[in-house]
Amino acid sequence: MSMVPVQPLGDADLAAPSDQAFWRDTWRHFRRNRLAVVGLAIIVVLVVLAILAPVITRYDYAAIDTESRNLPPFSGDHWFGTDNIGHDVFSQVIYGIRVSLLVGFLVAIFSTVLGVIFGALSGYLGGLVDAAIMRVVDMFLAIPYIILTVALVGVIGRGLSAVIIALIVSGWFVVARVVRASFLQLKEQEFVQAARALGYGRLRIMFRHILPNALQPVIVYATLAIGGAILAEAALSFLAIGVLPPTPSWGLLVAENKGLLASQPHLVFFPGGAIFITVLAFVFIGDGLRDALDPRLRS
Amino acid sequence: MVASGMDKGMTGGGTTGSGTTGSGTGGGGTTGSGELLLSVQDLQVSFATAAGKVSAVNGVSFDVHRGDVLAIVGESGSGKSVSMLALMGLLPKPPAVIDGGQALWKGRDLLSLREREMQRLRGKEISMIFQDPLSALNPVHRVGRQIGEVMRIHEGLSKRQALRRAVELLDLVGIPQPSRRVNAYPHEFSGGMRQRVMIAMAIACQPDLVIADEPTTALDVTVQAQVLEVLMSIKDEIDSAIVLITHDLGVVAGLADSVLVMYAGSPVERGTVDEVYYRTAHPYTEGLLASLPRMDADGRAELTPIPGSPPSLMHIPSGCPFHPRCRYAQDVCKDDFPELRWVTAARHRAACHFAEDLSLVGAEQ
Repeated sequence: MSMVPVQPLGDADLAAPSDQAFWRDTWRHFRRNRLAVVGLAIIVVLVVLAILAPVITRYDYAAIDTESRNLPPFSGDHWFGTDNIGHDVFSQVIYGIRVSLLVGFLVAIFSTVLGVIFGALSGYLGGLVDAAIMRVVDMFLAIPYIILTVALVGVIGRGLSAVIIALIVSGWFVVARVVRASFLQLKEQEFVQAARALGYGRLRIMFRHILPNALQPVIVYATLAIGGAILAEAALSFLAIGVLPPTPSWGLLVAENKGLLASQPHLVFFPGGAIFITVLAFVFIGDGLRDALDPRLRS
Repeated sequence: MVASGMDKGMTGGGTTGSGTTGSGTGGGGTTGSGELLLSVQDLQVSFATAAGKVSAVNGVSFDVHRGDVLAIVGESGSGKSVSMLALMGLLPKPPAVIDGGQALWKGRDLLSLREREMQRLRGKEISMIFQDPLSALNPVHRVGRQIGEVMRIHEGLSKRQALRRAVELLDLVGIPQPSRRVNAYPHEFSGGMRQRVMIAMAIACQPDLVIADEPTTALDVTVQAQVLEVLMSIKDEIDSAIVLITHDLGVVAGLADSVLVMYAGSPVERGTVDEVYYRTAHPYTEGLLASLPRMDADGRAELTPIPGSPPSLMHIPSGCPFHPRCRYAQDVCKDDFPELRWVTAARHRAACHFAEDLSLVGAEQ
């Protein structure tokens, strides 16, 4: 018979095909940027080191060994040497990755989420809501994060959580302003009008329809914010208003050993270098993402 | 025939505050075939601007029955889109203000419904098709998801059911290989195909009324007819009504049952297509028709554009808003605003002091 059997539509046909052409495309462009790939590789290595810290290190980062003080790098098992009370610097630096990444990611995630929520409300709803949120933002803009941290430390005591909260509080409004600007522009687009004409509610329009279109600068910001938060944590710890010893913060290590810079530069060099490399890696990734996500910069 | 258009005259009883007795009554030149869906009476919309109040829509009335195609014709700024957005509750308030009138949708006044109730109507009972399908579709979502979303919201379909229906709808609007194309992004479609996707979204919940706001203006001429054909065949399929907003009288002639011509926010002529085209009773309509290229006649007929340009809504001329551009204008036109009134048959109305004279001339030709 000449009848062509009509294939009933199976679920397999409806499953999204190798999903997200957009992200595949972005990844392709990202890969072409050598610095960005190097940055990503560094972060992957750091994450692995942080996870495997107990396996890699031979000494407790907090242990004081008076028998082996002031050892230079590569003395036996003490690859990075020891400080003047016998801490193993290698252990301190490796465990320091955990602190830095924890601060970096938590601060970036929470300040981004908060910023997106307030920026979206502000930009889309406008009017009184916008005015109220923006005045709060203006207020925070005028307070340096160091002062804010000092105040917070006064309230909840010095420590890792105070640092993280302080950095989130002093970081969210940057995202809020970026997101608000995008929303102000995007809400005038016809697809928003079309979504309203289809009877969609405000929250759905804001977060399901507009936000995906505004995500690009947010992703870039969030990546750069990780590096920024790591740097800020180091600075706060250096100034003795950050994490408490013996928590192995790189900034704290630099601060504790800054008097020995002349005689034993490695004590500052290793944690300082760790800060430098980590922050640089995130900046590379952020720049790479910015280029890869922006269609105008793709060629 | 004539009487059938009058059977909804009751809706207009005493609803207009200022118009003459004729202008407020319903029956906007409809065929009157189906159930009365929408009855708009004396709609008035203005915008508050820094320079003062700007009146964008000034006393528009019309009825839409199931199965009807009503064309609203006018130049940009004539208030046709603003009227529709006002009915849909989509005008930003402020600056927009609805100064008066009512819009009964199956008996309920759209203009006084709460936002939440309007949300339930939009996309489900009344839907809209926009001019530029590329900017009206969300660039970051697949079309299948966008079409499916309407039904997930209004009909509670699951993701999978919605996607299935989306495939069927794409097929219905004539998109080849719908089960593949459902996964494509809007930018992967051509202009005409995108407008078909928009139509699919608009009809997904089988609305009673589809408002098409210049649905073919952004499309290639060759594609325009196809898209309109799809729209019309689907109208029959889902048994809905269509309000077609356009500035193209050529499009109207073939598709619409009745026509409402607007100028500077005011309705100037209303009637069936035949009445408005062949017994034209307003000089503006006459001008629009004369500026239309014609294939009949002898092919040498000259195009006669309307002189001047539409007035700014900030400075609408006194009297008849069209008088500065009207070749028949008399002194009375400068001073007195002509209300929309009966011309010949029961449904044919025009807002011109000399409507009868014009119409008689047209009928003789």
